[in-house]
Amino acid sequence: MRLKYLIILFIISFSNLAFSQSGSCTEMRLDAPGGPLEGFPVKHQDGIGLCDSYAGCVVINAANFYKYGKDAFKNDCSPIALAGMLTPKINSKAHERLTVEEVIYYSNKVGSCHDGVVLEKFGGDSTKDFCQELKFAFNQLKPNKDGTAASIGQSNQEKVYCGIKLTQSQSYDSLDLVAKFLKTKADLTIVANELESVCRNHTVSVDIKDISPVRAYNHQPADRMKALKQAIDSALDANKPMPSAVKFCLHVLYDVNTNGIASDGRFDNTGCMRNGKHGRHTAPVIGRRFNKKTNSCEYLVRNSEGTSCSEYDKRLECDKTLGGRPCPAGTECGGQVWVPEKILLSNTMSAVKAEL
Amino acid sequence: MKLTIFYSILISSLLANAEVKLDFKVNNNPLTIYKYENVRVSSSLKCGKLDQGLFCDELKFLNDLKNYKLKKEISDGITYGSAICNEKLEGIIVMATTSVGGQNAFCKMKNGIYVELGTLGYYFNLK
Repeated sequence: MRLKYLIILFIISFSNLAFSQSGSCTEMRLDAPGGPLEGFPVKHQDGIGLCDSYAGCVVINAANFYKYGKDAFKNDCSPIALAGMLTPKINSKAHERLTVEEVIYYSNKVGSCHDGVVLEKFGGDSTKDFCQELKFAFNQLKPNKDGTAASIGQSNQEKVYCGIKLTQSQSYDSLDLVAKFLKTKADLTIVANELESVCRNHTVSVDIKDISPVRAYNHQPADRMKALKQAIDSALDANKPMPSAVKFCLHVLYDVNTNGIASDGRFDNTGCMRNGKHGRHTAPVIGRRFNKKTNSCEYLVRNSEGTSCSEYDKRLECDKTLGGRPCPAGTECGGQVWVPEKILLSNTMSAVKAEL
Repeated sequence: MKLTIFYSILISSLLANAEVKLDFKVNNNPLTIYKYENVRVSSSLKCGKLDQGLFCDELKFLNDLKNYKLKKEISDGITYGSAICNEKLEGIIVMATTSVGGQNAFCKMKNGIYVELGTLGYYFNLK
């Protein structure tokens, strides 16, 4: 009799295991209790084009968990500090935003700065306050106040920071307002120096052995999704599970029928931007599950657009939990969405994973 | 049986439009947000079924957003809600934090009402 029960139990266990592992889709989420992202909140990049820094910081926070344990939370990585300090150091890519690889690589070299310290120094609860101040100051200098580009100087060494083009390594007498705000001459280098000063005593080292980007355009169309999936899954399935940062066509979160990748695997005017809405975006994949209703594997994407999913396509399930647990009453938990792998991967240009 | 189904649907419909209070902080000051299915605003406007177009006066502008054309194309990483707040509403974007550290951003309009950026984006995209 007892043997019969054991056999039945064995069959049930085996069938469950086989089912849950079908298509490498074992359920897991990195923000669950005990996971490397437990307690790290969903952030809002607040209309500032620093998505790569926000995604990079999620990867760095997870890496720091394995190094510092729960103390990692005290060192919650500052996306704005990383972007501010790194941007002037990259001279070869004028007019381009940082990539998530650059963010992780740089952070691995110099450490990650505590977000709380940066926010306290530059703007209370909001990174936007810092950028608003900067933007306001630069707009005062422009003949055309179009709200984005600061037309200062003739240099072609312009960098985009806080949605503003800043001219690097030149000083301007008229930048008094910025100078006042930064307490020194305004220049992107000065912004970086200011951030480095704030971060000096609030930086922790990061131990990442390698950064592996998998890019869609390096693979034939038929193999792209497989290669991207393998990159994301191998990060989630590692001995120390990690998020990977995916660069994708943001519009897919607003319309699941989007097909933003151009045939050459790149984002350009015929690819992501073809939809005329949104642009390229980077966000971390922090979980995975098998959806029995749709019979498909889904990835949990932690977007950096705040704790609600108001804007997203209603066909995507908004994760309203706190790491899989019920959200406390009176609080909003959300901002992460479950995206079917086919939909995400067919709109993804690259997946970047960090190996510990 | 039929009656049970009828009441289930009725209760579900009511819940879908139910008002839920959410607590945020802006620069350490409390901010109460009222959440409906697709709308998050700062004042309890008692507008009825917000998602079915029965707006109170203060929120009528949401219905018009779908016809609005942004003067500039948005660039990577910028959301529609953010662009609309700056360009059309001439509001101020403020960051709010939840009790567990999560962040959400709102547009503080000239009349003092806070509307979530995601809400603005949602109505803008109803084309």
